[in-house]
Amino acid sequence: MASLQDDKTNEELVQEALAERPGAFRELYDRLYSRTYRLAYGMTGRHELAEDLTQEIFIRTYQKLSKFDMRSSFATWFYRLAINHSLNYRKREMKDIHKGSEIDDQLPSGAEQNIESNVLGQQIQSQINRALISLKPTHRMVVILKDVEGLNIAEIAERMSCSQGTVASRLFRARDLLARKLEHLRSAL
Amino acid sequence: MRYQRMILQSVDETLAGPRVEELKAHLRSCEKCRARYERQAFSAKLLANYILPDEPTRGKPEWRPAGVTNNERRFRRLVPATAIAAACLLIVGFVGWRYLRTPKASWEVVRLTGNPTVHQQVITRSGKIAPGEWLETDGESRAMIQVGNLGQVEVDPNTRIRFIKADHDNNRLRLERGKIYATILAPPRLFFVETPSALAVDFGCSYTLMVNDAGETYLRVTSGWVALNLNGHESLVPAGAECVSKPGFDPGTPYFEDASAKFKNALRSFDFENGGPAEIDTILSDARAKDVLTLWHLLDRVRSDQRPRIYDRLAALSPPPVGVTREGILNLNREMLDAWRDKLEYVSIGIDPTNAPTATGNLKPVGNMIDSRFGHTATLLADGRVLITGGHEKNQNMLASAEIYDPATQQFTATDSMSTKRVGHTATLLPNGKVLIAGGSDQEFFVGALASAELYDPATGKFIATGSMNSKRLAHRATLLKNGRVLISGGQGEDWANLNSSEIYDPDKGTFTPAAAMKERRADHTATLLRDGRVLLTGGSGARYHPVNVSATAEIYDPAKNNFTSVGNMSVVRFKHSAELMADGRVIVIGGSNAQMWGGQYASAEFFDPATGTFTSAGQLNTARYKIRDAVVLLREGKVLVAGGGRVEIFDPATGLFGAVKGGMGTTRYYATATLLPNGEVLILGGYSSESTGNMPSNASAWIYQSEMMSKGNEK
Repeated sequence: MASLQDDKTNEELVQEALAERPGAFRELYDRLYSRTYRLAYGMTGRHELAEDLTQEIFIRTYQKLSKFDMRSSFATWFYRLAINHSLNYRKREMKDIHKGSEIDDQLPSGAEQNIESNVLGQQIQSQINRALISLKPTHRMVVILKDVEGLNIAEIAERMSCSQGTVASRLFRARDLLARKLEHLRSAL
Repeated sequence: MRYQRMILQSVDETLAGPRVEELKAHLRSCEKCRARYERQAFSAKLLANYILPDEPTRGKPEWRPAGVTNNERRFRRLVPATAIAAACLLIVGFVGWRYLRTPKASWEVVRLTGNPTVHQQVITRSGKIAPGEWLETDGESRAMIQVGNLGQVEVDPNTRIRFIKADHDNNRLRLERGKIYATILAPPRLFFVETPSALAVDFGCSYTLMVNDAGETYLRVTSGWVALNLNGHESLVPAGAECVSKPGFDPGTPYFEDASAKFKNALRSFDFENGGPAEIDTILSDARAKDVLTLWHLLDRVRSDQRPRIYDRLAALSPPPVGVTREGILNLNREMLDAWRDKLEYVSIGIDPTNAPTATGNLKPVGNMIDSRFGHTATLLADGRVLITGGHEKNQNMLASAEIYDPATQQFTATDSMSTKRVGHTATLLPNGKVLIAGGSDQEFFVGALASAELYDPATGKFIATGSMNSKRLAHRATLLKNGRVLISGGQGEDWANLNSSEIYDPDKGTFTPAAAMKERRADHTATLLRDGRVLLTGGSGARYHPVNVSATAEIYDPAKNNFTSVGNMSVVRFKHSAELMADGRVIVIGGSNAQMWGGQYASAEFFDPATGTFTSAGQLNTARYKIRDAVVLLREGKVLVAGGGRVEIFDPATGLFGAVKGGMGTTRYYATATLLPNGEVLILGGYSSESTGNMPSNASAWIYQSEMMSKGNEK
């Protein structure tokens, strides 16, 4: 049975959180966690990094909540923040890599943690992860939102604050690069 | 551009009307667009499957993040729904296959910063580099070369590099000077980089290659393997290792970057300065188990009269495989050398469990705590029981509850709850038998730390209030001093600001008094009581979130003078690591991470010697790990147990090696605790698994580690 709280809109929960109702922000967190985590995982390729990034996104949301003006849907505002933060997260990571530290740890997928298992599926997942990681963050975000999250180009453009033409161009380029990087997988599908 | 959009729409099944026929006609006549179409469809389908591991024809294991739905609709959408699309895919498959395998006449170059040039033309955004052309960067410029579909090469400032050729089995650059970072995802021996003093041969890896003005080559491998070749000689370099090559010499001998300075200097002298038996002496005496590949390289590089010494040391560290004889190796039988190397390649990177060091003792389950927890505390009480307090039940669900483990009954029973939820708090057994609980956080996302403290009285089983700290703190450290007082150091304060302040708790007065300031802000650091009563503090982070400013520094608190004094630096920055006082008075600092957190976990350990004030290498764990602040204990026999973040490992000071304890606890456990019990056993509690999918669910299970001696005693 749905609780009364389930009937509240995101915007109502935001107002309650701003009014410091205990647990209000937690309810938003529960609602939005899975999707945010999925996005974070897509951008980082590792469960552990995704945990860190998801936490950062919610912390940033918590900090900036008072700046949500209620004129758009909270979900749109939130995911725009999440996307921007994810893109910045990737930039920071790349900066660290450029400093020469731990390149290898940026590449493996979460699936590779299970080194005892070596089934074909994990190898494929690992290679997709590696290929995704190697894309530019903006290109990667577009394919994740399109092909993983299932958003259409107009929705992606809105969330990434860019034109539909830019999204289409990035999507085309990203898929093209992925296919080239993963050409050897065609026989595996 | 027009067809690009139509291809996108066709793949996404949003193309309709006469444009379907138009695209179909175009694809029949345009080979390039057919290949493009196929790549688009392939990627879209691949990614749909990427998040659908349950798809029955794939048989992938469950590994996705929580909340991903089995969206069959999306899969159906990406399966070509029309006969046209299906036919196109079939037709263009072969064409695309050939297209992708046709070597490109040029590689893409992307400007990263400044004004890199190709063939003396500035690259403003991106461009091409053709065989024979030079890419050059000045002091402000960086660029990236897209190496066909094999990977990327990032080019640092002040670098001059030439594109030699791209062929089916030979993709080649020449690095004249400067530095590159190569990340290649391809079968071995497809990508090569020439330098003035070596040829770097890729085996599918990431690595840094640097050439100085003297033409010397420096290679550091961060994943996979790379070989440095010259004049028919090859040095095989695994991840974590380095190799130097100089003009006029054969490639140097590879070594792990955490090898001792003495070891490295001796190798360098041997390789490039006509070093002889004295250098061999040093190399043999300093060689660790993981240095076996270095020793193997020396077998055919030393004089024949030195070869038996190399063989003996190598065989002692990792016996040769069946069929490889001493005589054969001493005679440089190629097949035997290669067979031994095949084994050592794995041993050196610690993935051959049959030859990796193992530790004695065993692990056994002893039931479950009442609450699942990670980030809790577990404190041995004076009566031999263990007080367990707070922690996370799962991500953001914090606990005020406490429970008691009784080794006599191996039972967990509830006790009074703390006055508030606490995570990242400390629990310190006081000389009066009570336990001081201080700080932590009770709020989601750790937006606020606690200044409050309370005492647990085992006699009454109750928590009672005591004075509050002068600062709110979480992820701080509390160290019982020899005078019975408690040093509280650092931690995260308000607004995620990490602290450099410290304070002293006086059990007699029940009050906290400000003490001296540390040299640095530190949270998630270590604080270890030394034999002489001083306290060693190492590492930690200067801020909670980016940039977290992880520190390599260390300082010592002197209670007599109430001051902090800087001492030598650790070899790397570390936080969320652990440190333990050893029987000989040194401190072993273990694991931790750098600013990349999960991505930057360390397997390395180092000793701090209070007599010299310096850090030296203590070898490598078999598994890199962090979030182990309360998961390391000194065993009765002087060994050090490391739990959490991976299999339980034991450091043996007698051998200088970490060995994994056979068996496991079912999962990795971050923020677990390990507590030495009066009978010498170790109680390992809770933690969360890295295989979890985002909500960091904790574990209630409890395990006991018994040393081999205790196991045998029990059997009797």
